[in-house]
Amino acid sequence: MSASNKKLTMRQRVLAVLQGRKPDRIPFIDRIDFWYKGRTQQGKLPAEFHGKTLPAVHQAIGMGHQDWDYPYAIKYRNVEIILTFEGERIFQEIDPEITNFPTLWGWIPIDKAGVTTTELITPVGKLFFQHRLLEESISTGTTRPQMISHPIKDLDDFKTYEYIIEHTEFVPRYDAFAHREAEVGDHGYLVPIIERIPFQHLLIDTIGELETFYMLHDNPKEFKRLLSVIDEQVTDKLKRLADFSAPYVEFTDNLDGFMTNPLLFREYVLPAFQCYCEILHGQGKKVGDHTDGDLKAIVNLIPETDLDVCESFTPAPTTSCTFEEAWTLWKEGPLIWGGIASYYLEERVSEVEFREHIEHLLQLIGDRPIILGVGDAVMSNNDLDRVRYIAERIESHPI
Amino acid sequence: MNEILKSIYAAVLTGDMTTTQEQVEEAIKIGLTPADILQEGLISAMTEVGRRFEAGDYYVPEMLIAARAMKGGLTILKPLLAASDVQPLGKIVLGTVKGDLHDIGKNLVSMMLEGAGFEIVDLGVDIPPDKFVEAIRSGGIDVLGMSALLTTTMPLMKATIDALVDAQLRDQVKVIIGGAPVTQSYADDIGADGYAPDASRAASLTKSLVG
Repeated sequence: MSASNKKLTMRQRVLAVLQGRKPDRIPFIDRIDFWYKGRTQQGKLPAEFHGKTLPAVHQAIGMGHQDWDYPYAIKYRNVEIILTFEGERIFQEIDPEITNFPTLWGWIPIDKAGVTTTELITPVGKLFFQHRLLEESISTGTTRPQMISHPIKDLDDFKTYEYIIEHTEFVPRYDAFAHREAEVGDHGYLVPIIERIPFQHLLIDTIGELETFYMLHDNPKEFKRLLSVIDEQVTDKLKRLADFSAPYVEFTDNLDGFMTNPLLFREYVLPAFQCYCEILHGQGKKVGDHTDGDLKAIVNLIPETDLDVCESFTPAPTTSCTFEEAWTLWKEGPLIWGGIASYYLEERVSEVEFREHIEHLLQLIGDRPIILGVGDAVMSNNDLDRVRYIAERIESHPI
Repeated sequence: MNEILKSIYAAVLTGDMTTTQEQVEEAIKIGLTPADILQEGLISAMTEVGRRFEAGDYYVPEMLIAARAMKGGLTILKPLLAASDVQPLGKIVLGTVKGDLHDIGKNLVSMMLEGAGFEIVDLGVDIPPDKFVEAIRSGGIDVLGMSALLTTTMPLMKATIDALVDAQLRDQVKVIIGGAPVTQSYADDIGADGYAPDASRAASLTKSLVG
């Protein structure tokens, strides 16, 4: 085989698309970790995958291995953190260094069901929040504890939260990231994830989705003040990423237009993205966002964000936004990463309907750039043979 | 429409709970009937909220704030409604199925149903089939509404319907379902009586099933 005929690796295909070059094939890359963990837990891992690691399963089925990691951690000064699982203290530290606050992946137990309470003690006040993990979440592989109470419960908590945010330090972990990147290898792509933009941070992590709307309605002044405190910190961290040489970074906003409606999107989301993208573009980075919610209401506004990629784009019928709508409206960007609803990998969809859908997508896509993936992820009740089919179909579809 | 009822209607639409409550009190003071205040002030405003939601003019935040204002007015009105024997449109049991902790959709449905004049029994999240069955067995329930956000928990909707059949209660209650991965065809497949893609349409669907 001549050098020019040599196939690109999945990583090279992703990079080609991100950097505006034409790859040899459409990159097809996403997560099957829910499927893998769920099938393993249920004792239903197909025999061909017994003893195989997650990356090896990706390799076997031909779908690239998407994984995430944080290029930096946050050091919290003058804060004591205490984690209690079902009443038993499991962790305590002063001035902790955390990569993902307040989701605390890696800190909250994910191998047993129960409620984890996290306390944050500061000189100006105390906050607490809770996560709950169900047995079913473990057995289906979706081992993400769900936040059942948020750090800010009333107006009095604002000043404590502001104190916490104002006393943070940026701690680079570029070496750790590079090490993980090497582990993921050429058949995958390790996405450097950064935090949520301030509005989504308050909406999802800090106040809670419904409570945020009450808070914004009842106490707009305090809400906006907290937003600006978070914005200052995010801006500072993004500027510090200049030393991080990755070509692409991704916000983790789980955007959904029914929650963050067009009015809120215009007021709080667009200006934030425009400002952050300007900083990151200035560093030569492409910028994406994890947009796995229903984008129907904001699909026409997304191009104004200056984002380069909408990752985990989950179309109809899982959401009400069709692939065609986004495809038409995002002609000049952002790129879609995702685009195949996991619905099509379920038993309730016939093999014929599934294959017709894939053909329809490939025809629609033509040679326009896209990174195909499954929105939001391949679930434990999905048919992995269909994922393999997509991978094979793409390999036989040069662009 | 009476001017005070108009201002209740307007206050609910804009989510102004204080004005809603003040105007409900004023309406009671001048002798309007609780049934009229409920129907023409609060419920008609929530019907309009639903219409605007379906038209894409309102989204979850607007719906939520309006529902809170309506609920504020309803709290004042409730004792008078009971005293004047005004009955709710029907009694609805709601819950998110076993294995699923997502409650936002269910809570929105609850608010819109309450705004449409129904009485709600909210069982919460992670509800196993036998708990739903127990709630229906207690009697007087017109509709059971189940929610699931995960494709992996959707089968619990069918398991609950099967449990109702086993308990010989299926004929006593209408079953409606909803949630991101749920579709009309799934509802048909598992023998549910209806499916609604959002909270507003869940209220219309429930009215059509109970009416």
